[in-house]
Amino acid sequence: MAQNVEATDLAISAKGAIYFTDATRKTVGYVDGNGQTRVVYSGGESRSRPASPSHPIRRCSVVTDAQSRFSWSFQIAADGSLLNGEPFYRLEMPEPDG
Amino acid sequence: MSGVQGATLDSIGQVYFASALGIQMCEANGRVAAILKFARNPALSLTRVRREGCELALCGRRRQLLSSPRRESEWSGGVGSGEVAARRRFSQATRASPFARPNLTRPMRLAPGVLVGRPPIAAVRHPVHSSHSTTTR
Repeated sequence: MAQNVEATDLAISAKGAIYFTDATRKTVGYVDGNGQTRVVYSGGESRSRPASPSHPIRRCSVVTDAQSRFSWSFQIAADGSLLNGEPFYRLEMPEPDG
Repeated sequence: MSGVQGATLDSIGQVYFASALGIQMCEANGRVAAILKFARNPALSLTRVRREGCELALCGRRRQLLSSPRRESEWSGGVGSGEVAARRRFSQATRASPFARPNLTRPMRLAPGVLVGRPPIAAVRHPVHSSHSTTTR
Protein backbone atom coordinates (compact mmCIF):
# COMPACT_ATOMS: atom_id res chain seq x y z
CA MET A 1 0.00 0.00 0.00
CA ALA A 2 2.79 2.41 0.90
CA GLN A 3 6.53 1.97 0.82
CA ASN A 4 9.50 3.79 2.28
CA VAL A 5 7.56 5.09 5.24
CA GLU A 6 8.15 4.59 8.93
CA ALA A 7 4.62 4.56 10.23
CA THR A 8 4.29 4.62 13.99
CA ASP A 9 0.51 4.70 14.14
CA LEU A 10 -2.45 5.07 11.86
CA ALA A 11 -6.11 5.96 11.70
CA ILE A 12 -8.77 5.21 9.11
CA SER A 13 -11.33 7.73 7.98
CA ALA A 14 -14.95 6.98 7.20
CA LYS A 15 -14.07 7.07 3.50
CA GLY A 16 -11.47 4.40 3.95
CA ALA A 17 -8.45 6.66 3.66
CA ILE A 18 -5.54 6.16 6.01
CA TYR A 19 -3.64 8.71 8.01
CA PHE A 20 -0.33 7.60 9.44
CA THR A 21 2.34 9.31 11.47
CA ASP A 22 6.01 9.11 10.59
CA ALA A 23 7.85 10.19 13.72
CA THR A 24 11.25 10.02 12.05
CA ARG A 25 10.36 12.47 9.31
CA LYS A 26 7.95 14.37 11.57
CA THR A 27 5.17 14.08 9.06
CA VAL A 28 1.62 12.82 8.76
CA GLY A 29 0.99 10.81 5.63
CA TYR A 30 -2.24 10.12 3.81
CA VAL A 31 -3.17 7.15 1.68
CA ASP A 32 -6.33 7.72 -0.32
CA GLY A 33 -8.75 5.12 -1.60
CA ASN A 34 -6.69 4.64 -4.76
CA GLY A 35 -3.54 3.86 -2.84
CA GLN A 36 -1.88 7.20 -3.58
CA THR A 37 0.32 8.39 -0.76
CA ARG A 38 1.18 11.97 0.09
CA VAL A 39 2.29 14.03 3.05
CA VAL A 40 -0.50 16.14 4.54
CA TYR A 41 1.41 17.59 7.45
CA SER A 42 5.08 18.32 7.86
CA GLY A 43 6.19 19.33 11.31
CA GLY A 44 9.56 20.65 10.23
CA GLU A 45 12.61 21.01 12.41
CA SER A 46 11.05 23.29 14.97
CA ARG A 47 8.25 21.00 15.99
CA SER A 48 8.19 17.77 17.88
CA ARG A 49 7.40 14.38 16.57
CA PRO A 50 3.83 13.46 15.74
CA ALA A 51 3.06 10.22 17.51
CA SER A 52 -0.46 9.17 16.72
CA PRO A 53 -3.36 10.40 14.61
CA SER A 54 -6.89 10.07 15.94
CA HIS A 55 -9.76 8.71 13.93
CA PRO A 56 -11.21 11.67 12.04
CA ILE A 57 -14.64 12.76 13.21
CA ARG A 58 -16.63 15.71 11.91
CA ARG A 59 -13.78 16.83 9.70
CA CYS A 60 -11.52 17.15 12.69
CA SER A 61 -8.54 15.11 13.72
CA VAL A 62 -6.04 15.15 16.56
CA VAL A 63 -2.37 14.36 16.21
CA THR A 64 -0.64 13.58 19.47
CA ASP A 65 2.92 14.42 20.42
CA ALA A 66 4.45 12.31 23.15
CA GLN A 67 7.36 14.74 23.54
CA SER A 68 5.23 17.78 24.23
CA ARG A 69 2.52 18.99 26.59
CA PHE A 70 0.35 19.86 23.61
CA SER A 71 -1.43 17.74 21.07
CA TRP A 72 -2.43 19.20 17.75
CA SER A 73 -5.86 19.76 16.30
CA PHE A 74 -6.47 19.83 12.56
CA GLN A 75 -9.33 20.46 10.24
CA ILE A 76 -9.67 18.03 7.38
CA ALA A 77 -10.13 19.39 3.88
CA ALA A 78 -12.30 17.73 1.27
CA ASP A 79 -9.24 16.15 -0.32
CA GLY A 80 -8.03 14.77 2.99
CA SER A 81 -5.40 17.39 3.67
CA LEU A 82 -4.86 18.62 7.21
CA LEU A 83 -5.49 22.35 7.62
CA ASN A 84 -5.19 24.95 10.35
CA GLY A 85 -3.15 22.82 12.69
CA GLU A 86 -2.45 24.25 16.10
CA PRO A 87 -1.26 22.95 19.47
CA PHE A 88 -4.76 23.01 20.92
CA TYR A 89 -5.02 20.33 23.61
CA ARG A 90 -3.01 21.15 26.70
CA LEU A 91 -2.37 18.01 28.69
CA GLU A 92 -1.29 17.50 32.26
CA MET A 93 2.25 16.28 32.74
CA PRO A 94 3.66 13.83 35.28
CA GLU A 95 5.39 15.39 38.27
CA PRO A 96 9.15 15.33 37.84
CA ASP A 97 10.92 12.80 40.05
CA GLY A 98 12.79 14.04 43.09
CA MET B 1 6.90 14.81 28.09
CA SER B 2 3.21 14.02 28.07
CA GLY B 3 3.89 10.47 26.94
CA VAL B 4 0.75 10.41 24.84
CA GLN B 5 0.37 7.14 23.01
CA GLY B 6 -2.96 7.65 21.34
CA ALA B 7 -6.11 9.71 21.18
CA THR B 8 -9.70 9.40 20.14
CA LEU B 9 -12.58 11.83 19.72
CA ASP B 10 -16.21 11.31 20.55
CA SER B 11 -19.17 12.76 18.70
CA ILE B 12 -19.54 15.79 20.99
CA GLY B 13 -15.98 16.92 20.59
CA GLN B 14 -14.41 15.49 23.73
CA VAL B 15 -10.99 14.00 23.19
CA TYR B 16 -9.47 11.17 25.20
CA PHE B 17 -5.70 10.84 25.40
CA ALA B 18 -3.82 7.76 26.53
CA SER B 19 -0.96 9.42 28.37
CA ALA B 20 1.69 8.64 30.94
CA LEU B 21 -0.63 9.95 33.66
CA GLY B 22 -3.59 7.91 32.55
CA ILE B 23 -6.51 8.76 30.33
CA GLN B 24 -6.89 12.50 30.07
CA MET B 25 -10.22 13.76 28.87
CA CYS B 26 -10.25 17.16 27.18
CA GLU B 27 -13.34 19.20 26.53
CA ALA B 28 -13.82 20.76 23.12
CA ASN B 29 -12.07 23.90 24.37
CA GLY B 30 -8.81 22.00 24.68
CA ARG B 31 -8.62 21.90 28.47
CA VAL B 32 -8.33 18.77 30.56
CA ALA B 33 -11.60 18.04 32.38
CA ALA B 34 -10.72 14.74 34.04
CA ILE B 35 -7.95 12.23 34.42
CA LEU B 36 -8.35 8.53 34.98
CA LYS B 37 -5.16 7.36 36.58
CA PHE B 38 -3.78 3.90 36.26
CA ALA B 39 -1.54 2.63 39.01
CA ARG B 40 -0.14 -0.03 36.73
CA ASN B 41 -0.15 -0.63 33.03
CA PRO B 42 -0.77 2.84 31.74
CA ALA B 43 -3.12 3.18 28.83
CA LEU B 44 -1.27 2.54 25.62
CA SER B 45 -3.90 3.25 23.07
CA LEU B 46 -7.43 4.38 22.60
CA THR B 47 -9.98 3.69 19.96
CA ARG B 48 -13.59 4.62 19.55
CA VAL B 49 -16.46 2.26 18.95
CA ARG B 50 -20.03 3.09 18.07
CA ARG B 51 -22.53 0.32 18.31
CA GLU B 52 -26.28 0.32 18.79
CA GLY B 53 -26.47 3.83 20.16
CA CYS B 54 -23.48 3.37 22.44
CA GLU B 55 -20.27 5.27 22.23
CA LEU B 56 -17.26 3.79 23.92
CA ALA B 57 -13.56 4.25 24.12
CA LEU B 58 -11.53 1.09 24.44
CA CYS B 59 -8.14 1.52 25.94
CA GLY B 60 -5.11 -0.09 27.41
CA ARG B 61 -3.23 -3.30 27.19
CA ARG B 62 -5.49 -4.97 29.72
CA ARG B 63 -8.62 -4.29 27.73
CA GLN B 64 -9.92 -1.74 30.15
CA LEU B 65 -13.05 -0.03 29.06
CA LEU B 66 -14.16 3.54 29.48
CA SER B 67 -17.43 5.01 28.32
CA SER B 68 -17.93 8.52 27.21
CA PRO B 69 -19.62 10.12 30.26
CA ARG B 70 -22.47 11.78 28.47
CA ARG B 71 -23.43 8.54 26.85
CA GLU B 72 -23.62 6.60 30.07
CA SER B 73 -27.40 6.44 30.18
CA GLU B 74 -27.48 4.91 26.74
CA TRP B 75 -25.87 1.67 27.73
CA SER B 76 -26.25 -0.12 31.01
CA GLY B 77 -27.40 -3.63 30.29
CA GLY B 78 -25.10 -6.57 30.76
CA VAL B 79 -22.29 -4.75 32.49
CA GLY B 80 -21.08 -5.92 35.90
CA SER B 81 -22.10 -3.81 38.88
CA GLY B 82 -18.54 -2.96 39.75
CA GLU B 83 -17.96 -1.65 36.29
CA VAL B 84 -21.12 0.44 36.39
CA ALA B 85 -20.18 1.91 39.76
CA ALA B 86 -16.70 2.81 38.62
CA ARG B 87 -18.01 4.30 35.43
CA ARG B 88 -20.59 6.29 37.39
CA ARG B 89 -17.92 7.67 39.71
CA PHE B 90 -15.99 8.96 36.76
CA SER B 91 -19.10 10.42 35.19
CA GLN B 92 -20.15 12.17 38.39
CA ALA B 93 -16.67 13.49 38.99
CA THR B 94 -16.61 14.86 35.52
CA ARG B 95 -19.97 16.54 35.78
CA ALA B 96 -19.35 17.94 39.25
CA SER B 97 -15.94 19.22 38.36
CA PRO B 98 -15.47 22.95 38.18
CA PHE B 99 -13.08 22.21 35.37
CA ALA B 100 -15.87 20.92 33.17
CA ARG B 101 -16.51 24.57 32.31
CA PRO B 102 -13.09 26.05 32.87
CA ASN B 103 -12.38 29.68 33.31
CA LEU B 104 -10.19 30.39 30.35
CA THR B 105 -8.69 33.47 31.94
CA ARG B 106 -6.60 31.53 34.40
CA PRO B 107 -4.74 28.22 34.23
CA MET B 108 -6.51 25.14 35.45
CA ARG B 109 -5.32 23.00 38.28
CA LEU B 110 -6.59 19.50 38.76
CA ALA B 111 -7.91 18.66 42.20
CA PRO B 112 -6.34 15.42 43.46
CA GLY B 113 -8.87 13.02 44.90
CA VAL B 114 -11.78 14.57 43.10
CA LEU B 115 -11.07 13.82 39.51
CA VAL B 116 -8.45 11.17 39.91
CA GLY B 117 -9.78 7.71 40.49
CA ARG B 118 -9.12 4.08 39.98
CA PRO B 119 -9.36 2.50 36.59
CA PRO B 120 -13.03 2.37 35.69
CA ILE B 121 -13.08 -1.24 34.67
CA ALA B 122 -10.64 -3.91 35.76
CA ALA B 123 -11.18 -6.36 32.96
CA VAL B 124 -13.67 -6.42 30.18
CA ARG B 125 -15.56 -9.61 29.59
CA HIS B 126 -18.65 -8.14 28.10
CA PRO B 127 -20.27 -10.45 25.57
CA VAL B 128 -21.48 -7.60 23.40
CA HIS B 129 -18.13 -5.87 23.24
CA SER B 130 -15.84 -8.85 23.30
CA SER B 131 -15.95 -9.05 19.55
CA HIS B 132 -14.46 -5.55 19.43
CA SER B 133 -11.51 -6.28 21.64
CA THR B 134 -9.28 -6.69 18.66
CA THR B 135 -9.89 -3.09 17.69
CA THR B 136 -7.52 -1.92 20.40
CA ARG B 137 -4.11 -1.25 19.03
